[in-house]
Amino acid sequence: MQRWITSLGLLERRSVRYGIAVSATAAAFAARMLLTGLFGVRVAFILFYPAVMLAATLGGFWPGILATGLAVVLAEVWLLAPIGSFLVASPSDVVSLVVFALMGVFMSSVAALYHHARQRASDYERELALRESEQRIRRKLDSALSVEGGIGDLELGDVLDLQAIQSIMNSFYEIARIPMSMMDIKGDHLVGVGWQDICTKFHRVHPETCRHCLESDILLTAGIVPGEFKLYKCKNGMWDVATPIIVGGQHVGNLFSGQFFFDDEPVDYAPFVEQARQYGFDEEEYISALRRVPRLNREALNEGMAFFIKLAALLSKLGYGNVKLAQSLAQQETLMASLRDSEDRQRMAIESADLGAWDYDPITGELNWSARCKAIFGLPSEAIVDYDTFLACIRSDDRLRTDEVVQTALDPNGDGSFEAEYTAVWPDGVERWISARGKAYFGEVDGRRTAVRFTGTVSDLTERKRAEERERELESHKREFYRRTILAATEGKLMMSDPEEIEKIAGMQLGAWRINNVDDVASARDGATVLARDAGMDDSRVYDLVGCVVESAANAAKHAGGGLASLYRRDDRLVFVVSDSGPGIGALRLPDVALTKGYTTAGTLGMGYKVMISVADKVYLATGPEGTTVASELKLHGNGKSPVLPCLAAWHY
Amino acid sequence: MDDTAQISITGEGDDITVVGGGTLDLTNSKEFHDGLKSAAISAQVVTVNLTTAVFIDTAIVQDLATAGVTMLKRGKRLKVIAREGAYPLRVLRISGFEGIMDIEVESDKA
Repeated sequence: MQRWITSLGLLERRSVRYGIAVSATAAAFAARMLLTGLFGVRVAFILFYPAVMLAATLGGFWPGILATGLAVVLAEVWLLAPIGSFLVASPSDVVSLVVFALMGVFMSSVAALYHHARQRASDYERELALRESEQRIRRKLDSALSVEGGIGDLELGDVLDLQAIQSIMNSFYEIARIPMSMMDIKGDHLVGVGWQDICTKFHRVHPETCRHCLESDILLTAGIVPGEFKLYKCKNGMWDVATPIIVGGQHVGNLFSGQFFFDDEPVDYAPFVEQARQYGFDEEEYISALRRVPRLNREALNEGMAFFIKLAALLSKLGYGNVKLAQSLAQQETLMASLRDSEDRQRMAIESADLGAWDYDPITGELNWSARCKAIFGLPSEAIVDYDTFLACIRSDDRLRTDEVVQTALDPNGDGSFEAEYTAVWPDGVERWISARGKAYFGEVDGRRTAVRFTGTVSDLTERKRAEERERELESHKREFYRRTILAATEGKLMMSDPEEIEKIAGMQLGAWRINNVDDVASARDGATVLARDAGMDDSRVYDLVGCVVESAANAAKHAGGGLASLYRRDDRLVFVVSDSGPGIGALRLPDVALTKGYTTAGTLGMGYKVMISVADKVYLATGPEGTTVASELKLHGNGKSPVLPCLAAWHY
Repeated sequence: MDDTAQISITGEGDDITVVGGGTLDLTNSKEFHDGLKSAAISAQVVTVNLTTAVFIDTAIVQDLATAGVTMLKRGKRLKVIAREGAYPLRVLRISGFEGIMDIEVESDKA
């Protein structure tokens, strides 16, 4: 009964709940009085217990309390002595009253707990059903809305606006009075109009005749060719006609009209009378409903079906269009999300690398700089920039060159690549080194290939450049210290140099020899000897020169795979130069190679440079990863060596 | 003075003299190297006469140093004679190998 009452929604009303409490209590009191009158029953509260239980069960805690309170009052006044008074004479009656009151509260509490538990269970069931429904729909949508997905598990009702279609059908029925409905492939009628009583009150009510309807709708509508309709007699004896709805190549439902007879066809009532008897229909009402079934003209039906076919085609396209639109939107959302993700990653990459981003439209001239880009040029984030602003930020001696590099990148004949380094000048005059990289993108404008976008990044190299400068300066100081130390250690005889400096001190070439191997040293030796004597070199110095020739040429042959030897004359000096492309002498090894007696890496005596430094007036040595050039300078006459140390030259009387 | 390399090995048995004259360097001194090596290994007395040499390079000095060390290990000392003021003596002095051979200087007037 509670379920029945609940299904009617009566217990939602407070008046009903409390009314039940009052009614039940009153009924219990009346029954109690009757029992007393008929059978002399004296137990005061015997019938009030079920009344309170009923009130609490149906109404809840407070109705239960109300029933308890009413029962207490009624019993006190009308059932317990002295009658008609609120006083209670007997102590046992007082106990009974108190016990009843406590029991009433207890029963109301238990009923309240019961209600609460039922409510929670009901809420949980509703939530579960909702969640399942959502998941089901989500699965369907996911299936259909995937980029590769077709209609998937979607049903007709999922892809069409049933409300709108129902409205159209209603309007059509008002005009044409042709019943119609749209049903899905499972036979569920989604929308419809013009249902006949014979179906709604009889055929669709009885389970067996209802099954006939379903079977007719499903089986008899199978295999209908799109654009055509099928006329069939349902299993309950009435005419139906259907045309299919195809969405995405899938038969998802039918547009249906039915429950009629043709006007040129006599209706045989006998089977229907038999049906009425078989299924327990009220024969009179059933036949009456049968008589109300419309009789349609065949021509009108054909014209109506022509409309149905076009409507079905429209619904098919609409349904398909909706699915495709939804898929397209889903795809777009996916792409947008992917694009957003990509943009985020790009932005984070640029930010993490401390780069400034720029984007230039060569056609409109619009230039966009990121906040970091503006900061790199010493501009505030709200600064408005254009190409002229950019050029104005560049130091004047770099401006033209940078602009040319930009124009080259924008040249449609090029590949669009852009790379430049220039000096920017901030508004406060501070100079910053900037490195810019980017790319121009081309498209067709007025039939010509044109740069349509130019984008890239800039980075501030200032700190790196300053660090490089400091390092170069430090390196220069180290080299100079190195050079001066070796010069001092050799008493000014060994000068660390570079090939360009050696070329300057060489003078006029007298002879040259290719040194490929040790055997070629003899040619250089003999040739240099002749040339030295021809130049008038002192005989004693000739062998000093020969020593330098042999040692330096042999070094080139043994350590560098060969080289080029040349003899030059500059004023009163001969300079013998040997250049090779060997691995050079490392800076850390050079002091040992040049100064330490016996240091060798080729199993030789390791004295070559010592001899050269001793016998020549000066030895110039340029060495590095590109090779070694050594030049021995000797005066034609005398040994060029002052007996007096330079520092003592001023000490004389 | 003749610059052409001239090498001769005189003496026999335990007393060998290797004479090197003219220009001696790594390109033309194989005979010098081989003769000195053989003498240093076996002879009791080995003398290298460079008084007629006008030029020696560090390869020749290396041959002399190797012979000197070989003889030292046998309890002997190599003797090298060089001419005063000539290039070979200068190179010998630059090399600083007086400790492993006896360098005798022949006066230029001789």
